[in-house]
Amino acid sequence: MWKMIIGIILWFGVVPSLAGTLVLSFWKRHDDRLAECIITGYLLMFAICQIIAIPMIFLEIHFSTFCRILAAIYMITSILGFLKGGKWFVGMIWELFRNLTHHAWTVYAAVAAVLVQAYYYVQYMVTNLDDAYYVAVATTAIETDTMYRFSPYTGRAVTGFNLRYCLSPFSMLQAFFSQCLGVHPSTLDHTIMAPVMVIVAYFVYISMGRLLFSEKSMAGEKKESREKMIGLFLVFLSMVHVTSYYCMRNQGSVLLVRIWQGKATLAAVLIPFLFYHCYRMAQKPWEKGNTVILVMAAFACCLVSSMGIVLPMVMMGIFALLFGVFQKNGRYVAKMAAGCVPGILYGILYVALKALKLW
Amino acid sequence: MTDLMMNQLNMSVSWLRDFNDEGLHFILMFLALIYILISKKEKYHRRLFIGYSLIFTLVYFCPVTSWVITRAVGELVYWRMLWMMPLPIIIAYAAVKIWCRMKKKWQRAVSIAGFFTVLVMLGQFIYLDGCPYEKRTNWEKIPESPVAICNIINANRGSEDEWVLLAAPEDMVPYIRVYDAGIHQVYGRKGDYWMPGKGGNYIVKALKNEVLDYETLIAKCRRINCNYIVLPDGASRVENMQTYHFEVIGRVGSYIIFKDMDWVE
Repeated sequence: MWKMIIGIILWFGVVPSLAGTLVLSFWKRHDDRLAECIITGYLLMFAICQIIAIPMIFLEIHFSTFCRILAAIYMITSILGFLKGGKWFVGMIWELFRNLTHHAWTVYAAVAAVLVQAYYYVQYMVTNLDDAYYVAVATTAIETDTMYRFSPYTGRAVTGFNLRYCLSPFSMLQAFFSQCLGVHPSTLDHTIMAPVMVIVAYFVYISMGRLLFSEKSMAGEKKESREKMIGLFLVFLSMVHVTSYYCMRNQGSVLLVRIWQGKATLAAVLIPFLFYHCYRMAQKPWEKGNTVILVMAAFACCLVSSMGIVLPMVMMGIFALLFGVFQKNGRYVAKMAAGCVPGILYGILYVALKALKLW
Repeated sequence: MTDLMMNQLNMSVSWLRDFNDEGLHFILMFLALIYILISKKEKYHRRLFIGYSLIFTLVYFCPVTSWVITRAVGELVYWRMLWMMPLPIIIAYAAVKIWCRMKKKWQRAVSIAGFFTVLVMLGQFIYLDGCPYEKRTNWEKIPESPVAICNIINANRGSEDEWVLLAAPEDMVPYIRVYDAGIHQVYGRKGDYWMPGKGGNYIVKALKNEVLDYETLIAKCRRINCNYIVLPDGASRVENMQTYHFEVIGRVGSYIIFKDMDWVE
């Protein structure tokens, strides 16, 4: 049990944080805090997985080889992150613990609200029939040491590749994590990754709150603690999410009912992140590294769902119109166009493979 | 051309209706947007919230853009476009700003309670009303019956590597390989058959029927190397299956698990 808990802290806490530290400290973005650091780390991990998984799937490389390569890259990334920005990262952690009892009441309320949502995933069970594919494809990969070579429904060997799923191999990342932690993929998805993703989703909203309630945007208004407003923003967001169960499809429901599935991660974590990040790029054009983070996010979207190939392009198109074309800001349009590159690449790959009928 | 445009528009409206279902949170979002639009203090983020919402609405409903997007993602999942409308962010942001305008503590306390009440009334509270969460019986969060079926089969395997091709009832099918991918299935979800032309379809149909033609069922099973069958308990079921050397290896609820004793690898 302790071994597993340490593994969870390592793979879902330390590794993403250090990966994020590597990216953020590379551009000396020391105004960013732990939330931004962890999110960036997850984006980098997702992007790396997407970039190495696709060729490995089509080259029919063994799943165990994929795991070893991915683990090595993640470890190297973490070590580099520690070497590059370890001092900054440790400083952030120290500051977090030092101020643990000095926050506004809304911050504690927000933490409680988020933990309740995460706790339900740990303690209770939500079944979803789509797991018959998404989770079974991970168990099948482990069982057969292959990637997408057997039908997850029956176990029958397949002759071609189901391109829609193979181009978004989030389940392979989940299978990788389950191997690293030594747990069943279903345990990983339902009991470990689901609450982790809920927390990551709220990290995105913390970042969004910091941007929406920035000192600049509050100029001329009654002095109200920013921290209190961000905490309250999270509390209100939690309220909206927990009361969104009128439909299984909306952002609140997918966050609380099926977050372990790639499409839900797209809806509840990555699309809100893109919304935040595109706005941040418009608000802080002087910041370095934002385009790279945007491209990483686009790769991450492609990893989690085939919808993640198209939807981010639509969103970036809207932002390009809003803050680029309408404000005659060509640089911003160019940055948004760069963000579309991963989606375009995988889109072309999909069309080409379909047309050529290589598989 | 006009028909095509009308079809696209109807599809967009229909998905929007489905997405909102019986919920009325969109009314709150609309009110929040009006607040952001008219309040002098909300100038700073107005471009983001109002501008983004307007362009998104245009893109979503515009027959040309919706046609292009549906060609890329498929009509059945066009509703996922609505994930890009940041409804929770808009509502929460406006609520915080309105809360900040209140001066007295009691007003602020009441406003939080009032806001939550309105949300519950216009939506559905996940932890009470039709709660989707069930008590877990294992950490895998897989229903007990399929787990028990897998465990019984594994306990009766001659060796760890022994071939297992299972014909299970429809309600068990989605969970079997989630729990144990070492067990193959005659059919899976969404009409995925082991060998459709060689008896897979027949077995699926037979399992759904109340009265079974045992002889054909067993013949079809053996033809595709299906050596385990899960059947609902019924009159003379055990005796009929035993006639063809399918022995009972366990029972889970109202289901009986049979193993082909004549099976040779």
